Amino acid sequence: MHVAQEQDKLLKDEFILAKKRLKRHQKKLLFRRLIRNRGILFGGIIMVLLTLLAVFGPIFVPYDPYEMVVTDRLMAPGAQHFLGTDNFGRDLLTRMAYGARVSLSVGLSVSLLACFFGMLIGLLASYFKALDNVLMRICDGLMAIPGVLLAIALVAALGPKMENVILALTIVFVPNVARVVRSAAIVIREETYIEAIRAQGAKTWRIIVLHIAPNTVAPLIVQASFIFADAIITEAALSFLGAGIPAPDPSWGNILHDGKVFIFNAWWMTVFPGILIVLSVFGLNLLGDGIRDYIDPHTSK
Amino acid sequence: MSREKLLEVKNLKTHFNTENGRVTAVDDVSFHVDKGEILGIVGESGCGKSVTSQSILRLFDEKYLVKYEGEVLFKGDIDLLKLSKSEMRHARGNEISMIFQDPLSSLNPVLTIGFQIAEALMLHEKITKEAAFEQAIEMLKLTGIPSPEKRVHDYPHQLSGGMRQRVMIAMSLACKPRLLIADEPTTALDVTIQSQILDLIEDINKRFDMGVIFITHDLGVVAGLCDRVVVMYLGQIVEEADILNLFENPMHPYTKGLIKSIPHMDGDRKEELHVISGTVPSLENVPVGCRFAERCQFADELCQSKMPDLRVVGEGQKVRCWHAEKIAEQEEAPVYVTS
Amino acid sequence: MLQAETEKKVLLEVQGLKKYFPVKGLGMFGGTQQYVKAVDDVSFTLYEGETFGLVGESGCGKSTTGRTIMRLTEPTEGKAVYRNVDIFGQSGKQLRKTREEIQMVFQDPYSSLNPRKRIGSTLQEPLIVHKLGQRKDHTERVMDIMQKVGLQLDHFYRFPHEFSGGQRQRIGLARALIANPKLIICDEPVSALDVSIQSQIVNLLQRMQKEFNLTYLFIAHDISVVRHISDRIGVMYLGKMVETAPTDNLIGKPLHPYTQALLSAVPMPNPRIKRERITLKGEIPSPLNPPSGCVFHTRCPFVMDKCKTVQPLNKEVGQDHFVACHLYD
Repeated sequence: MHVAQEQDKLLKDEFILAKKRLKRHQKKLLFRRLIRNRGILFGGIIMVLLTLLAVFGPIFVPYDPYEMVVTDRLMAPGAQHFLGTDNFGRDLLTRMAYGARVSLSVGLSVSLLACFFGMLIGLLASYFKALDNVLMRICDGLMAIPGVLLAIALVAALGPKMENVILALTIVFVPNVARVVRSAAIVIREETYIEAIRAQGAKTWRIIVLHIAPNTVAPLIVQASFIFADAIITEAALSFLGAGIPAPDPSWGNILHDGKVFIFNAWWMTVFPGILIVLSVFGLNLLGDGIRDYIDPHTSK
Repeated sequence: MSREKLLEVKNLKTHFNTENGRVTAVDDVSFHVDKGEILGIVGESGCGKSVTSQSILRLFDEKYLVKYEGEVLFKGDIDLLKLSKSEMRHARGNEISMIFQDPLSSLNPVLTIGFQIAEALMLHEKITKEAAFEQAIEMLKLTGIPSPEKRVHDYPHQLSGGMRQRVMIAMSLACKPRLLIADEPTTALDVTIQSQILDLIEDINKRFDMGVIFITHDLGVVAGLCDRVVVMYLGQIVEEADILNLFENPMHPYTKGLIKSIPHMDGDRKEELHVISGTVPSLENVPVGCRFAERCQFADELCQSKMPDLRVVGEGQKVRCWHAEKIAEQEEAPVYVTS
Repeated sequence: MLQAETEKKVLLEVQGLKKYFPVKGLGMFGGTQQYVKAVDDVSFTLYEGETFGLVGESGCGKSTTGRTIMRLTEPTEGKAVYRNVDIFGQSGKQLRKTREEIQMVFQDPYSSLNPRKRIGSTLQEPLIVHKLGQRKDHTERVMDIMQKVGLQLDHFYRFPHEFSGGQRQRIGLARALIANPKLIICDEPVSALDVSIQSQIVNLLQRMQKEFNLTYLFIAHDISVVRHISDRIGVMYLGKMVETAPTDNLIGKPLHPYTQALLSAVPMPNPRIKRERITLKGEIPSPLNPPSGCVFHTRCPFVMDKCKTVQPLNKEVGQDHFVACHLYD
């Protein structure tokens, strides 16, 4: 009796040790695989640099993004203004750093919001047949309208404000997410392990939240990174068309907008913000592809 | 009575290149099939029985995936492993054909079955399309498909599993091959359909004096169908015997265990089933000594350290075990291991 | 296992169970609504502590029967009386309570475990769902059951893909056992396993039955396994129960022509027995359009005129031996 108990304790100690060892080993493996994935590595580096620019850039730049110095209009890149100035004499680097804040935070909030609502809609649609038809038809309707057009219409109706831009873009991207989540969830709902937990008598919300939702996260993360990129482009497009972030607030899109008139005498006003837009979209796509390969090694070959 | 050897496999090794390095799925396998004989290859999943059969037909991608060693002699002097690609293509279907476990995925869903059988014929013989269709109907009739004239125009999805397997057999028989390799052809079928297909294979074997390699995990099927049996474990042959000896005088502990662990229809129900403890080790780290040692109740130091050879122990019986004779003596009082 | 005849207690009684799956008709406007009669008027009884085997070929409705009792699909008609209460009439809390007592083991050990959850948390799930015991005791309980089914403790933090098929089925059984059920529905629990692993699991099932005094509804197509484990066997064909009898009677003296053919088709691992096979002609008819009268009449070697029109009733022809066939009228 006593011996058995002692043995039991020994076994359990061993078990706790094994658990610790396993966790350490897993962390190491995970990190190694993460580093080996080029997409995640380079995409990650680009995004970290851009984030640093957005967070710390405005602190270090010496100028005010709104202060107009008429004498310094359209100065070429040089010692005084590293990336030149715009048509109001504002420092371009400063405006781009502040613009990075705007563009990245629009992109990030849109992708987070779209993922949250999209996941909610997708999960509900996948589990409740009655809701499925209604929700998915609404999504179809929204997806039938070109994204930029829909966003312009929404911002025009709501008024050009950063919050409204985010709201409009979220509405544009929610259907995409909902579709991805729904199709993933439908596959998972049919798996035997979901049936097994249903046979246990678990409540519906528990099945959806704890058992189905985590299995849709993988495709969702990939989708989120693409939406991030898409939102940056679309916001830039909106601002470029004058339906986005209103002047004088800087965003990469409206710097481009301001620059288009002077494209022949002040190339820097279009080229530099353009580079940043391309860079961020490139980085995010690399990251998304990398994550997809990382999650599912079968698609990489 | 010495019979003519139809196919002789000598020291066949099949290596695969995987992410984790090289894996030898078939390790030094030798056996032969006589004309008109049904040879069974038995083993559990991962024992290499399917890989062996697919190696005979060289169905793997040889550029990247696989490397073969050894010889596969067909009709005495043709080494299949040395044939060029086009010669091999000629041999497939024409001389040796194969049927698989899942007939649905081995049939093209968008073509009629008549077309697919006729195509098999036209690939190897110079005949007109009409003649090929005539023969296709003939083949379907031979495999016992009712109203074959109508059925030739059906698509695979319109047929049941048993019917599809008949179509597969009809297709493989189209060119009157000398050897038929059947890889678990009845595993996906129901028992009443299975017995129909087994009857058909036996009938074909007799009628055309065709050699058959029948691969299965089901010892019951083997007992009713095969003349001789090869038992595989973890890429190696552990025992070879004719059918009566295999069941009445098995020499390898693994064979014994397998036979004892299936529930018999006339067995004692109150008795627990015999158990082979543990699981099959992975091919990536095969044991140094006898591959069955860690699951064997008779294993000793010799078994752990040194791999036994496949040696002759009786009339047509070979076994890969150090202690086969000793175990046979002890067998009077059976030892049941529980766990 | 075999109890005295007098004190057999009924645990579950299935009466006239029907499950029809609607099939969309062809044509623009649906056409006439058609049904696949997956289970058509099936009745049987489970006694406490016994194993009732349900055999039949694919599409005969044996799995649907099990799934309907679990309420994984809703029945079309019929009753399943579990301890004097009809499961099919239950909902909400009551149903959850019943589900605690009736558990299920699935066929495919690969897909029946959530690939993203560690074994420990998969096994804890039933305890959380049914609010059994205190949260801090859960780990202990899981470890107990893991040892019982022959798993090692360090498997607790592993993922399903790290296990072999046999081990996964042990996990599946542990999940079914952890809530202390009375009845376990085993849906082809060993058919995906290799021979040598199959016997391990069959023995484990029997040992657990003795230890926890369980009742099994054992659904399988492999008759030799069913014979080994069951006290009584029911044979299904095309949604109907054609014969029910204690195991030795059914195997030794099958009465229904279908049972006879099914038994004769089982491959025997004995090369000296060249058993005369009763080879059935043709294929199983589609359950969308089952034959009139006796569903087996299209393939039956003893078919009479009556069989084509009149549906045979389930009659008791011997001690606890039921058969639905006109030969025994």
